[in-house]
Amino acid sequence: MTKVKVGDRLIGWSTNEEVRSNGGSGGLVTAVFAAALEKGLVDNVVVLEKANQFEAVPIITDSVEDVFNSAGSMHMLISNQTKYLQQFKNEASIALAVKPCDMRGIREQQKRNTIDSDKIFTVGLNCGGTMAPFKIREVVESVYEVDPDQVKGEEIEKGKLIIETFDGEHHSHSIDDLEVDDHGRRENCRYCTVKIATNSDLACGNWGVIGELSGRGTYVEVMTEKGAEFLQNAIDMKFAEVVEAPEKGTEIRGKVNGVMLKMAANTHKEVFKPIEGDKLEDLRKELENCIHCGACKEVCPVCACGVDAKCNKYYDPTDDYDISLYHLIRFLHLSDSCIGCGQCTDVCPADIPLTRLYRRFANPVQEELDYMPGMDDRTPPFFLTKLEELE
Amino acid sequence: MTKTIKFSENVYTTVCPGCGFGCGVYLRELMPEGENHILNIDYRKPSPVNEGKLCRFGVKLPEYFEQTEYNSDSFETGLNEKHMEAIKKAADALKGVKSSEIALVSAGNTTNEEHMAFINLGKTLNTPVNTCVNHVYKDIGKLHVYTSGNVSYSEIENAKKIYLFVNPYVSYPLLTRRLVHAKRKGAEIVYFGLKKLPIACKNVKTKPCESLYEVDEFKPDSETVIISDITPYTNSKRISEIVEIANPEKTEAKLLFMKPFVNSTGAGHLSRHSKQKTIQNIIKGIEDGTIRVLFCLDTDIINMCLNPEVENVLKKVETLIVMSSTITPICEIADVLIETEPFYKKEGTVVNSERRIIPMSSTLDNPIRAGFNQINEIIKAVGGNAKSFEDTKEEILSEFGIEKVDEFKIPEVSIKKYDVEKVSDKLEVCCPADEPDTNAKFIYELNPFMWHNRKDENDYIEISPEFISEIKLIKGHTADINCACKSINKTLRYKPTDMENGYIFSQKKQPFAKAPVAKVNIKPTPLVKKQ
Repeated sequence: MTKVKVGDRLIGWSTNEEVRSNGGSGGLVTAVFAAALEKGLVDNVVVLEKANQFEAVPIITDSVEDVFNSAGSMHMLISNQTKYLQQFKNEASIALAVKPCDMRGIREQQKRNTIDSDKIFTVGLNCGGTMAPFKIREVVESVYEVDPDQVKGEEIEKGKLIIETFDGEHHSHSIDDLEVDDHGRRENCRYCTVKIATNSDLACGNWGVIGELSGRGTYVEVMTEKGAEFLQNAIDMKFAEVVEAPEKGTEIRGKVNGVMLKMAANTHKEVFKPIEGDKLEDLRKELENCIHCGACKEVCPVCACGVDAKCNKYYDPTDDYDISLYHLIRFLHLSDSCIGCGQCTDVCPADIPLTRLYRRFANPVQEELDYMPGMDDRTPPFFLTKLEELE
Repeated sequence: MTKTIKFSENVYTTVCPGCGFGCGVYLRELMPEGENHILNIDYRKPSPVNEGKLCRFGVKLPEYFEQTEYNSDSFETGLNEKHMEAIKKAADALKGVKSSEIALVSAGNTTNEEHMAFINLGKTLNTPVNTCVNHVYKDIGKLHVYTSGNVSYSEIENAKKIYLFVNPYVSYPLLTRRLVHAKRKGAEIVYFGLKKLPIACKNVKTKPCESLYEVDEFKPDSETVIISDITPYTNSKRISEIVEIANPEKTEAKLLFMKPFVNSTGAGHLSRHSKQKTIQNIIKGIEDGTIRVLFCLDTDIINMCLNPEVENVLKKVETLIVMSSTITPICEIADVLIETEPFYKKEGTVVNSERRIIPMSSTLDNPIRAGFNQINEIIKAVGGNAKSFEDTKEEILSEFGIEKVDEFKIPEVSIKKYDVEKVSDKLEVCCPADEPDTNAKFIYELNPFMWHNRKDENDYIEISPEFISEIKLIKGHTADINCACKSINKTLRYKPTDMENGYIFSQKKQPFAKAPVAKVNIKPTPLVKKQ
């Protein structure tokens, strides 16, 4: 096969049979990371250290063996890769797998110079949505009537959440049915409009892998020069093999994406239907239980403000405003750059649907400005506005 | 790609030490080669307690640990010469006095494993371990069955009626979401207190010293979950009235008593059979010379007491031994200081207020057990038999009647009565109660920052808008608050809050109040004329 280049659409897999069996969809991502580490293209890879099927923590390693041992995917792992990377203050070169929203956060931070794109290599994974790990544990017990400790793995396929137990049994329920009772994906995932991480170096996933390679190969779209270099390295080092993706596979990938986006659009309409009555009162009511922990800002992948952030600076705990300035400033500040990742809702101790509130402000602003944060290298519009004013 | 510096990383799956709620959290320790470690939190979303959510204290945990921990890397290679020297001094002091002259204190700021080893030390020395929390009522032994956690947080969410005696927003912030869920499902939430809480459907004005027999709205039944707390400042009369009126055996009402320290419930359970002293009894014993050695395990009595005079009393004890994972005021005056690893690095278990046993672990190949090993070294030095970590773990499981730790299941524990020395059932006041020159009552709102003596943006008071008008506080200015005897004055900012007239609240320890409820005088700070 000729050299890998930007725009290539391929099906790949690990040459290591154990990794190919254990890894998600043929273990290509594991193979690319392991080869990059072996060759010295990066110093570290972020792997998952699993505590059980419902819990894993991302951790860096410089060991190829650790990379091989960490193979496997988890839909309930909602890590925050942007914040994870920021810890290193651009002093480490790191390869990591990301969801589309992780990558959007990373790209927004690259624009704010807190993450150096030269120091990272990203493999984006298709994402139909993630599920809160504790909630899924409960659902496994109450809806699937399966002992959570007996769960070996999970997979989302053809609109179903499939739970595999150690006895080899597969238990499945329709995601639509689960979501009726809020037992499925996180709300923001249900209306998310980026399912394929075309904003990363390599966009990978199992959509479009058909025929005998189904379940044993990964569809990969090469998005950047760096992506091409890393994939070529894995092939050259005989860690991975690839073939050209069949047209039919590419078509199916597009169809799956299309179906997901249609579902997302329907949910979007439902979630963001116009508020009846007093909008301000609605907002006040949503925020009345806020305990001002600041976690929503701490986890926000696009927030780059430090201790002098305006939302903190203008917030005074002795104020008795109906809606605190902290929130009002953040609604404004994020309206051009909110990526709808759901991290703020995840960590809110008062269960305020923050992502939904931020999106209420961001949807019309981003539409008006024709800006989709984290998807390309465009400067955030509010930065531009400021510069134009200065000129 | 540019080569850069080498990093390694440990992740600790631990519990926030802010209060007894038991929030799961990951502490990330990033170690750039040749530089100091960097701490960060990561939200532990699979935790059955908090699903990754944290309060303001939890969000600031890296700062808390970085500012209070001893050189934590030094514990990874075992006990060093400095530790062994402190251990020898502690053992010598304990050996040099009679059993009755020793007071061991552990309020539950550490793991069950360390607490159990401490109990083992107590057995060797023939003296109990005092928890100083479950002490509030002379008949606490009878109440213990109801105050040791018999409602899970998820049961709160399914309750039809909830009676609240704590302000969740301030004291136990992670309760808030459980209450939000309950309210969404139709629960009626009634708050008995002096503020108006947004989460409550009904706020019933209830003064701190008011008898619940006189509060008509307090009518618990089988559909009621009552949430209160037990802290070193708890009004014991209130606790006994809650239990008496609720009478769970008859009405089937459910009771949840929150606790202030991360392992208060575990420590209370493991020490339940011992005849314990109260803080007041210990302080009295030091003053009259009957207690000559005080050994505090991760318990800062100075932090716990509102009256700063306690520091001078502690200085009088012949030997003050402090074993601590954090740098706190009591460490400053200790005769023997045994430094231990920070809480997040500890391996073992804690028990939260709902009586869930939560494991703490790490990605380290060799877990750090410095604190546990240090207590064992002291046991050996005073002639006792130290138990291994594994044996201690087994003993703890047996105490809780379980075979293995599973944080997703709350163990059924049969609670038995235990004894404590008789204590006062009245709230203390710092000045004579009938001082004529006071116009307000000051109340502390307990919170993790206060228990841990941490700075926060909480140095202000809350006061009702009507009271602001009455005493003519000027918007944007400050108020001067004096204690009743006028010896202490402090100027503070104020926040208008929907609450009862004649009261002021603070979430921070204030020098003018040496008791949970104190009479004070509040007036506008005089305006200084510009030159």
